[in-house]
Amino acid sequence: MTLLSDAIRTEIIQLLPRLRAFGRSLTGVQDQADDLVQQTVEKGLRNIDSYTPGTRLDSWLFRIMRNTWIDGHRAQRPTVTLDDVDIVSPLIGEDGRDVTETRLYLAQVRQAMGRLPEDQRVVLMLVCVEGLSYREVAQSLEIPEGTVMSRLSRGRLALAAMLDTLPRPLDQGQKHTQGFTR
Amino acid sequence: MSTETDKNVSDEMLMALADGELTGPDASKLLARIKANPALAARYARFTDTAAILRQAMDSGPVPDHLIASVLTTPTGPQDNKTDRTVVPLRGTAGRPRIAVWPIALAASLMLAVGIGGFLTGRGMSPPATGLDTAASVLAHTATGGSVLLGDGGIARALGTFQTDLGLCRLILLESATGQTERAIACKPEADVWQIALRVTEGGQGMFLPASDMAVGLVDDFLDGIGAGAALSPDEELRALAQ
Repeated sequence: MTLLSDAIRTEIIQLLPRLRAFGRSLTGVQDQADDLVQQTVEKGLRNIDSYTPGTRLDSWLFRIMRNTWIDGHRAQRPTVTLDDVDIVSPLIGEDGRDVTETRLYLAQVRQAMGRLPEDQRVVLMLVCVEGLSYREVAQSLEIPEGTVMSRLSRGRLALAAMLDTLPRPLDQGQKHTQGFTR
Repeated sequence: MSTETDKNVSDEMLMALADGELTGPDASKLLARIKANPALAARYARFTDTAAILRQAMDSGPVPDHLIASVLTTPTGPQDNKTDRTVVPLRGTAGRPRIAVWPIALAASLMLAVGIGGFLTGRGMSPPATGLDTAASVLAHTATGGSVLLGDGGIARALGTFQTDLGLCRLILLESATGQTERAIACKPEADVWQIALRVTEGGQGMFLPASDMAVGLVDDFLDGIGAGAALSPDEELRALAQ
């Protein structure tokens, strides 16, 4: 059991970035996501007997995390994301206006993400932020690859539509879209 | 704006190309069409742009140490009979008795395997060790995840706090100024006295196997052996450290 649990611990450590991304898609805020990841890891290890070796560990942990979130956290979800507090933090040694614009824009992107349905947010986090392939996402969420693609596409287009209404700082990707967009 | 040709290209195809899921001749053909067709290019840009901006906006930074520590230190199997004494503890009843005496041979072989140096063990307290003793004391009121810079340039980090048979114990990591890393369990059997119950020196920085992976098993078994429950929550830890 020790050797098995050591192997599982190593695998969980490798999965931590993915677990944090999944947690972030549930909580919207990284601090809370990390708390949720910690609870998930602890629950998982304590109930390791219910994990079937050879099956996907990430799917199993995702299930634990979602249940933990539904059980204990959803009611406490704050209406203001703490991540956005940094918009007003002091700016030192950089061009204050540009940095503020960029930060504001990124905070608005996070808010826009928060308005998407959870199922779309999850696939956006796993594909766009964590860089997982569609197949990996399908396997770890235990849904068909076609469903991953349709959620991802709907989420991306909804997000793009929300971002269209915002003024965009110059360094946020405008360079290569200029001339393409309307 | 859209033409008959670009209507034939689905959003999913454009997205798959943007995400690197479409490769080979299909990808090249589609890219050529995108270059030749501004409307298609605009649709394609929706997908490349959203991915780029999300990576920036949602970047969660490096994995915090305390999460790694949780993975490494949370005991496996049902546990914590302290909270409900009517529940018969399942842990250790079959196949893995609670460790009263260290499996020295196993520990020794692990030491050989990963180059672990100093290693003091047993349920009793070990002789004090310089550096680590200081680290345990200076971390006495630092929450898990926090670190303190030591006088000699080393950094001491608190990785977890546990209630155990030896009293309150903390898993700490000491990175010396020379780059050597030690993990230790410091326990407080009485008020304001921290003693090192276990220390594991990770050697061989250039080794392929991270020594920390092996050291972790030792630390975990030790925690198991001294009846450690789960790592304390921040609130519990705050209360425990204040006592």
